[in-house]
Amino acid sequence: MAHDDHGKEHAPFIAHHFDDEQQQFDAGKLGIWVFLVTEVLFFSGLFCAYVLYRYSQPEIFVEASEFLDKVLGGINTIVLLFSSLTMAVAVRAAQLNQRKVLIYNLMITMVCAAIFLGVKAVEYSHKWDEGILTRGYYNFHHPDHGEGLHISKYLYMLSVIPAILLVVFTAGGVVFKVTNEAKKSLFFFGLALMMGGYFLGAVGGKIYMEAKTKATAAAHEGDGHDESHDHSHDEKDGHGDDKGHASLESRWTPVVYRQEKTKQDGSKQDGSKQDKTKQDDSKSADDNKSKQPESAGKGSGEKSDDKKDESKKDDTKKDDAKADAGKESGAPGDTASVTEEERQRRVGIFFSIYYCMTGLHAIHVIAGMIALSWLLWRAIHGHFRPDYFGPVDYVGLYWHLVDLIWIYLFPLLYLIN
Amino acid sequence: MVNQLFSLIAQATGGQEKTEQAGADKSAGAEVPLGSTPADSAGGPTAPAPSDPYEYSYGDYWFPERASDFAAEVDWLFYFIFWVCVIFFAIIVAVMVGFVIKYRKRPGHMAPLPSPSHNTKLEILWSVLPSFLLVFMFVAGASGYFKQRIVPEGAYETHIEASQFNWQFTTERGDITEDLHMVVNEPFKLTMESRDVLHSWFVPAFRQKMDVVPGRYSEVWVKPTKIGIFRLYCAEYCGDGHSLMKRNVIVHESWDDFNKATIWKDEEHTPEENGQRLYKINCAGCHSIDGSVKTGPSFLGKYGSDEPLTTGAMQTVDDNYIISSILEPQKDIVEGYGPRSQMPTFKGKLSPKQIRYIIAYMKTLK
Amino acid sequence: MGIAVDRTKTFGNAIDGDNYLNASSGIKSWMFTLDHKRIGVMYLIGVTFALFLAGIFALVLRSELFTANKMFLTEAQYNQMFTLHGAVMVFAFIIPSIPAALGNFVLPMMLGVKDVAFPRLNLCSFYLWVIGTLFLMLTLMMGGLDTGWTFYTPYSLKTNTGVIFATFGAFVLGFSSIFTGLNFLVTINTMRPPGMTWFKMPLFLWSLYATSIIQILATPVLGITLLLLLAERIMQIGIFNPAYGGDPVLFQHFFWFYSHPAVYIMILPGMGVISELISVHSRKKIFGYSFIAFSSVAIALLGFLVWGHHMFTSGQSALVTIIFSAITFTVAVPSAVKVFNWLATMYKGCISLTTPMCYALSFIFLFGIGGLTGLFLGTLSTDIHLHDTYFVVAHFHFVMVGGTLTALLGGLFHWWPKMFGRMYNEFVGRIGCFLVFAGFNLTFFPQFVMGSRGMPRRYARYDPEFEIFHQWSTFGAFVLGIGILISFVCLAYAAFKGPRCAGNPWGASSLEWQSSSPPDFHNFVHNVALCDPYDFSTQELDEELDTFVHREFMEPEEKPVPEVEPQHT
Repeated sequence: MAHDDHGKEHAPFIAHHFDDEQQQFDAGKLGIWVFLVTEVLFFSGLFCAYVLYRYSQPEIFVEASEFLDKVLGGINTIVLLFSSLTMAVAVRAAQLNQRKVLIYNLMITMVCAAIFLGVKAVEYSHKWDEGILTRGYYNFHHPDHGEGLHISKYLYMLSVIPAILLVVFTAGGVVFKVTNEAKKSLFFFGLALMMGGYFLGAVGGKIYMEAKTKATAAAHEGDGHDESHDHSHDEKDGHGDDKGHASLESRWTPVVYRQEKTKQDGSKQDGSKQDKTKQDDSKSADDNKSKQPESAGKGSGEKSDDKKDESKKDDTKKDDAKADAGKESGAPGDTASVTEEERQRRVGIFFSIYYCMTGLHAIHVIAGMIALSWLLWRAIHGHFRPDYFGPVDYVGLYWHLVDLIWIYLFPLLYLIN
Repeated sequence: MVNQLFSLIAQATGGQEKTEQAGADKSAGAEVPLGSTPADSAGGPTAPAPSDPYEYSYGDYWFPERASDFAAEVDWLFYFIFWVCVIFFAIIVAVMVGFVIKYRKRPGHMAPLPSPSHNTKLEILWSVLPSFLLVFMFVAGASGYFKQRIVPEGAYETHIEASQFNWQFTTERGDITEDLHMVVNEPFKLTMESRDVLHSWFVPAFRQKMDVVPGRYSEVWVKPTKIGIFRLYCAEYCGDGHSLMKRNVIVHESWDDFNKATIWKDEEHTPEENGQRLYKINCAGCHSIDGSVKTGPSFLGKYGSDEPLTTGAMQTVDDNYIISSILEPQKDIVEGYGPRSQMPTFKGKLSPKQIRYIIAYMKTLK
Repeated sequence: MGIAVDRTKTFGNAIDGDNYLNASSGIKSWMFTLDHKRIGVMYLIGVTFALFLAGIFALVLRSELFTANKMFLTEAQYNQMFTLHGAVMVFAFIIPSIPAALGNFVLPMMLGVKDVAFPRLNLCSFYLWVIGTLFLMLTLMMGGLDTGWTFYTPYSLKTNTGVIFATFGAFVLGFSSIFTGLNFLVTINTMRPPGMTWFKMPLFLWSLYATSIIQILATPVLGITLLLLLAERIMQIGIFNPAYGGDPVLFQHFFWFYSHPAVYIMILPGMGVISELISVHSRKKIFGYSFIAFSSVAIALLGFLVWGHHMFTSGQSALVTIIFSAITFTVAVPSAVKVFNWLATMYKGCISLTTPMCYALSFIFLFGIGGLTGLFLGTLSTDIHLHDTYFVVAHFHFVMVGGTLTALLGGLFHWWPKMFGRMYNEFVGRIGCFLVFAGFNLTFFPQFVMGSRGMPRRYARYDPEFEIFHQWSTFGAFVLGIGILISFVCLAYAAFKGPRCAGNPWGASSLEWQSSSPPDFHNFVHNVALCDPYDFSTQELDEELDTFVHREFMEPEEKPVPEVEPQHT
C-alpha cells in the first residue's frame, strides 16, 4: 500500500492514519461493538416474528417444538459454551504473549464450531427426510427406512463440501510438511482438524439418532405400533395406552400420511417421489389460498340467497336483515373452517422460523470459522503481541455474540414447554 | 385543458357552492366522461334515469365535491392546516428574501454586522410556539379519524370483494352489482376482502380510504350526503391493471331507486344482457370490448377466431375453449399472456349457466 | 523546510504539485485505493450514474403520463418504470449520495485526519454499492421489477418479475450503507483531534453522526426483512404470505421500521450541508449551534418511532395509529428549529449569492414546502384522504429531491474547488440552480393539487380531469432534467477546464479548507490550526495566493509554526 510509507515513527502494525496503538485499538473495539449492535438488530427482526407468531398461535409452537431433539440441541449448547471459554482463553493468551496457548485454543474453538455444524447437519437432514420443511413445503410423513442403518441423502449432500475441504486441507498440510514449511503446515493441519470436527459432530449425532430411533421402535413394538420415529411422543406419553396414542396420532399425522399408511405401501425415499410430494403440497396450498376467501364469500352469498325472497318485500330500510356475514363466516383462515390437513400444515410456520433463525445462526458460525482461520494464520505467524492483540479480541467478541444468540435460540425453539 | 384549469380557478376564487353547477357545465364541454349519466356507466336498463343530480361536479380548487358527512370536517381541517402553512411559509420566504436583499454582499457591505450567535430564549420560543398548533392539528385529526373509523350501529352492509383489477359488490340481499350503490343520507358499512393482493378502497368525494388486506376482513363506512356518481379507485398498487381498477359509486335518492338498480333477475333478460352484466362484474377489469389490450386479450371479435397458444399450436376460440379458460386459466394460454396467466380461476364462482351467458355476450362482440 | 510552512504548497493550488489525484496513476490505483478522497470521488461518479439512470426512468414515465390514455408504455411497462425509478433513486442514489460521496471526501478532512477509521471497510462499502446496483440493473434483464420500491407482500410474492435479484441488490446496498455508517461513527468518535470537542465540530459532522446512528440501527432490520422476503419467495416460509396464514401488514411494519428512518438518512446529511453553506456564504457564525446539533440527534431518534404513519389506512389498530400520529408531529419541531436557525444565521450577514448559496436558499424554500405538507399527512383524518395519492408523491419528492438533491448539488458546488482545485462557472451554475428550482416546482406543485383532488399514485392511466396537472408536471420534469444536466455539465467542465483556485476560496474556517486544492494524498502537509469552524474572522485574505489563510499561518517569519511532521494527523 502506498500509505505505508508514511508513518515512520509508527510501529508496523499501526495503520498510517492512526496516531498510536491506543487509538487504533479503541477504533477497532468501537467498530466491532457497533457491528455487533447491527448483528443483534439483524436477528431482532426474526425474534420479532417469533414473538408475534408465538403470541398468536401458542399451541402450534408448543406442539411443534416437540419435533426438535433436546439432547442434540443441548449438546450443541454445551459445545458452543465450551468454545466461548476457549475463545476467552485465546484472547487472554494473546494478551500474555503465550503463542502456543493461543494457537491451541483457537484450534479448539474452530473444532467446536465445526462439531456444532455437524450436529446441526444431522438435525436438518433428519427433518428434511420427514418432510418437516418450511410452511409452504411442509409435508410431514414417517419415512419407512426398513431395517439397518439409514443415512439420509441430505446428510450426504451437506457433507460434500466439508469432505472436500477436509481432503484439501489435509493434503495442504502434508505438502507443506514435506516442503518443510512448518507454519503453513500447522495452519493447514489446524483447518483439517476443524473439518474433522464437523464429521465428529455428524457421526456422533447420527449414532445418537440411530440409537434413539431403535429405542423408539422397540418401545412401539411393545405397543403394537409400527411408528418408527417420533421420540417426542415417547417422551411425552411414553408407553401410554392406545387411546392416548391414537389421539396423538390424529393430532400429529397429516392426512397424506394416514392415506399412505392405509395403502400400506410406504413411501419410497427416492428423489422423484420427494419432489412430487413437494409439488403436490405447494399446489394444494395454492388451492387452499383461493379456496378460503371463496368459501367465505360463498357462505355469505348462500346466506343472502335464503333471505332474498322475504327481503324483497320490505325493500326499504331493513334493520333486521343486517346480516353479519363477516362475523359469522369469520375471517378467512379461521380455525373453524380449516381442514385437519391445513391445520397440520400450519405447524410449518414454526419450522419456517426455526429454519430462518438457526440457518442464519449457522451462517454466522461459518463466518466465525473463517474469521478464526484468519486469526490462526496470523497467530501462527506471530503477528499478535501484548500491545497488538486487537483482532483476537474483536473476533472473540463476535464469537461470544454468536454463542449468545444460540443461548437464546435454544430455549426459545427447543425448550418451549 | 387550459379551459379546465380556468374553470377550476374560477371556482376556487368564486364561492364554492354556487359556482359548482356552472363549473361542471363549463367543463362538460371539454370532454369530461365523468359527467356521463348512470345509464351510460351503469349500463343496465334498471339504472336510474339520467337526471341532473348525477352531473359530475368539481368541488373547489383543492378538493373534489364533498359527498359524505365527514367530508366537510376533513376539508375544514385541511384548510386550517393549509392556511397555517401558508402563513408560516410566507413568513419564512419573506424573511429569507428580505435578508438576502438587505444583507447581500455589495460595495459598502463587505463584512457581516455584529449580531449574537445564539439566543436561547428566542430559540425556545420558536420551538415551543408552533407546538401548540401541532397539538391542535393532532387532536382535530384524531377526532376526525374516530368518526371515519367507528361504524355506526345499524349501517346497511355491503360486501366488497377486491381481486386483481376488479371490484365486486354484494348487497345485503345478495345481489352482485358492477357499481357500488348507495342511498343518500344512509350509513353504509362496507366489509371488504381481497382474493389476492393488497388493494385499497378509495372514494375521493367521500374523503374515505381503507386498505383491503388479503387474509382478513377490513371494514369501512360512509354516509353519503349527495346524490350522484362518484369515482371509486384502488389506491394501493396491485399489479398491471392497477390504474384500471376503478368503478363508480352511485348514490341514489331512495331505497326504491337503490333496489331498482341493484336487483337483477336473469329470467327477465336476454342471455346477451345477462352476459354483458356478468362481463362487467367479472371480466371488465382485465378484458376490454373495444379491441384494446389490457391485462388479458380483448373480447372484441374473439369468438370464433384462431389464436396462437404459448405452446405454438393454434386454437379456435369456441365454447369449449372459453369454458376451459374460465375454469382452468393456466391451461392453453394465448401467446403473449404467458408463461403464467394472471387470471384466477372462476371455478365455483360462475355457474355453467352464467358461463353460457358470457359466451352469448361474446358472440355479439363482432 | 524549517519552521515556516511552504504556503503555496499547503494552501495554494496543487494541480501541478502533489495531490491525491496524481499521487499514483493507472486504473488499479483507483480500483484498489484506500484513500477516502478517491473513494468519495468514485462514489460520486457512481451515484451520479444512478441519478441519471433513475432520472431517465422518471422522464419516461412522466412522458407516458402526458396524456390520460396510452402514449407509448403498456401498464406493465409503466409499472416497471416507476418501480425502477424508485428503487434506483432510493437505494442506489439518495441514501449513499451525501454521506458516501460528499461525506467520504469531507469528513476526515473536517476532522483534520488522514483517513476514516477503516479504509478497507470503506472500499468494501463502495464495492458492495457497485454489486448492489449491478443487481438492480440485472433485474432489467431478468424481466424487470414491478412491485414498487416498497416490495409490498403479497404482490411481490406473486409477480413474475425479478424480485429476487432486486431484493438481493437492495440487501447488499443495505450492507454498503451500514459499513459507511459504522466507519463514520467510529471515525468521529475516536479520531477527533485533541481540542476538537463534540461542540466544536462542524454541523455537517453532527448530521453525519446522526445519520450513521440511523444507518446502524435501522438498516439491519431492512436486511432481515429483505432476507425474509427472499426466503418467502424461495422457501415459502409463510411469514408474510396470507395464503399460508402470514401477515402482509407485518411486512409493512418491518419495511417501514427501516424505511422511515431511511428518510432521515436521506435528509439529515442534506441539512448538515445546508448549515455549512449558509454559514460560510453569509460569512456569519451559525446561529444556535447547539440547537441545530441536538435537533439532528432528536430527528434521528424520533425517526425510529414514527414508522406506523405509513400505515394509517392499512387497518392497524386505532390506538397504535393515534400514537404514531402524535409522535409524527413531534418530529416537526426539530425540523422547524433548523429552518429558523438558518434564517437567523443570515441575519446581518454578508450574503454572497454564489451557486452553493442559491442552492441553500432553494433548499429552505423546497424543504419548507416538503416539511409543511407533512403536517397534512401526519394529521389522521386528512391523511385518510391523502394517503397513496399524488399528494404523498409530491410531499416526499419535495423532501427527498427538493431537500437532498438540492443539498447535494449545493454541497458539490461548494466543495468542488477543494476536490479538483478548479472553480466552476458561476453564471452557468446559477442558471442550473434556477432551472432545477423552477422545474422542480413546476413538476411537483401540481401534484399536490391533483393528489388532494383524488388522483391515486402509481396509475398508468388516469381520468381526463387530471390531464392538465399531469401536463404541467411533465413539462416541469423536463425543465428539471435539463437543470440537473446543466449543473453536472458545469461541474464536469470545471473539474477539467475550470480556472484554477487556491485552497480556501470561500474563506471558510472548517479544517478541510486548510489544505491545498486539490488536497495532498495525506490531506494535510502541515499541522492544522484548530479553530471554531464558524468563526470566519480567523481567516485572512492572502493577496499573493488569492485565497484565505488562517491567521496563524499569515506571517510565518514572526510566528513560529509547528513542525511539518504530522502530530495528530
